[in-house]
Amino acid sequence: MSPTASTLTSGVPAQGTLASQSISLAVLAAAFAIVPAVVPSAHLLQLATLALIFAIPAIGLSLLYGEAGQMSVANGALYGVGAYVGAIGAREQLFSFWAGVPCAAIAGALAAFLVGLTALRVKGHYFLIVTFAFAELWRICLVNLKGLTGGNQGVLVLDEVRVPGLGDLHTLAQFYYLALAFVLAASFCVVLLRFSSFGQSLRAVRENERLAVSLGLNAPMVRLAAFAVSGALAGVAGTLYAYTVKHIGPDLFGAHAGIQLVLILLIGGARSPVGPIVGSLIFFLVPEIIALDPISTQIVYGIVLILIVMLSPEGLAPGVSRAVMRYVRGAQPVGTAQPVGGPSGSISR
Amino acid sequence: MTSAPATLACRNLTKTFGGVTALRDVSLKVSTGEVLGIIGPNGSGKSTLFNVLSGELRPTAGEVAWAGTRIDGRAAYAVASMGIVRTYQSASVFPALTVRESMQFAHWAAGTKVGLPIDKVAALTGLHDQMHQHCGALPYGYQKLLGVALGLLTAPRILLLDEPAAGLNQAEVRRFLQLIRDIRGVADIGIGIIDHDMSLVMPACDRIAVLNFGTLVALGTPAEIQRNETVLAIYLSGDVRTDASR
Repeated sequence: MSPTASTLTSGVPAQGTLASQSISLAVLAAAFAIVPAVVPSAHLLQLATLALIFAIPAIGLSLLYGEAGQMSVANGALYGVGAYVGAIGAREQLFSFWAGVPCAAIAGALAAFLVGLTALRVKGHYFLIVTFAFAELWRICLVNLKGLTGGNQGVLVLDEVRVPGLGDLHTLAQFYYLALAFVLAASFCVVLLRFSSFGQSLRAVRENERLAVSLGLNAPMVRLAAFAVSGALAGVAGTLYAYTVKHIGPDLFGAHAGIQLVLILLIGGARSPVGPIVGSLIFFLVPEIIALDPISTQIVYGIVLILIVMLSPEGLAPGVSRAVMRYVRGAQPVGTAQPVGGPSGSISR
Repeated sequence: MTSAPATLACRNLTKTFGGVTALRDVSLKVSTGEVLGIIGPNGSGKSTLFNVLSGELRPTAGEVAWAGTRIDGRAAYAVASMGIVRTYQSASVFPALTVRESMQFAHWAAGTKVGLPIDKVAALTGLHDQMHQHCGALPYGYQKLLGVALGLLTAPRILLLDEPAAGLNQAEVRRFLQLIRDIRGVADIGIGIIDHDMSLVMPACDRIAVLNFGTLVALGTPAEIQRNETVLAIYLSGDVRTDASR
């Protein structure tokens, strides 16, 4: 890393401020708002919508992984909890989309809480293994509880999403904007939490749990709360997915989906608000754009992931934004760019 | 600032690790407003004592009480939030957080307890010019000061300092001594200090406890301890691991 780059972060993740993260979200929102107008095909717009929906559980996981340092592969299953709550609620005519969203959030948070109770005993890799087991258990339950879940056939969602003032949503662009609105709301929630005292304690737990505990923090409970929040966001996204795609099945929500969420965070970056969104878009659109078969796609993912971890371990979003900042600073007159008293370049760990 | 003195007391404390007895039948007290030193050779059970007092380890036998309530068996975070806060022997910080962020966290961890404000603690510990630095980049001496600062920000009633002077040079030790005096001046808290550095322990403490092989062998004022023949034997005889002059 060159000396100029090290003056910015020196391996310490760029955290930014509440204002800077909100601004980057606003810029992203503006850029994404014009996508339906410029996207060349309906198929790409559909993919972009799915990518946005799948970014929401990634945004939730970014709180757990990016701030608390705890990885989970159960969030794909928690996404499924929300999807099934929304879909079954619609099938049984229990609630509409807008009532389904909070129900799915509660169900996702509750499921995460139950799984996370083990987090009071295990953490790190051990917790990761526990979440893997729960994710597969969930998928197997979905297949076998045929009466409730429809088994391998899944559940059809026939209800429409009714938006006040617009009526029922039908066009792809409408669903795209709905997904974008949910992504921004979820991102903003996570940004607010990141800069709250709760976010501060998550980082303290990540950095030095023993010290955090010695200062009076109930570290396992804080981790559990972060996991529950990530479960709530995954649940919301699940219901959104069910109403957008109109059909859900068990294979979408096992450990495989959880691993995909982890990949998205590794690609995009877990500590920046735009990281999960960018990661999800790359994950969905790149194989489509380069038009590869599934096996070659896996190989490309593997190679790309290794390159990202080696070249920009915090993910692409912080790496790219740093490169841009370096370029901008390089273009400015000397003396205006470097903040006084910022992270010094002397950090050596 | 001044409230009724409260006492952290252990009675007949024993802690074994497999076949090794780290603490044997130790009874000791430290009250708010006083400074208790704990000295002894390496391996004499000093850090184990702090680990048991702070709830990180459960005693094998005996009990720990704070203000008359038994607290052994409670979780470490719960003991800390009751106001019994410890620092660590090796500097322990949140590497990627800045000094200010760590202090904000500690202050927040104090909850509803009214403690010293961040700026005051920063000035007290001499960290006011380091507030924007990442803790991992701080020099070792500052990291140890930060440990005390974080402890202070949780509004403790008892602060247990595990070898605060280890690895510090003489100027830094003198500064630490002054810090302990300053803390006594502004906060009504009890302090327990484990250290090998007699230039810190002797002037800083009201009473000193001496541990050897897990047993409390002497307890008294610094002057008494300096004259105590058992203590002199432990520290001066060649057959005991003596590192008091480190």
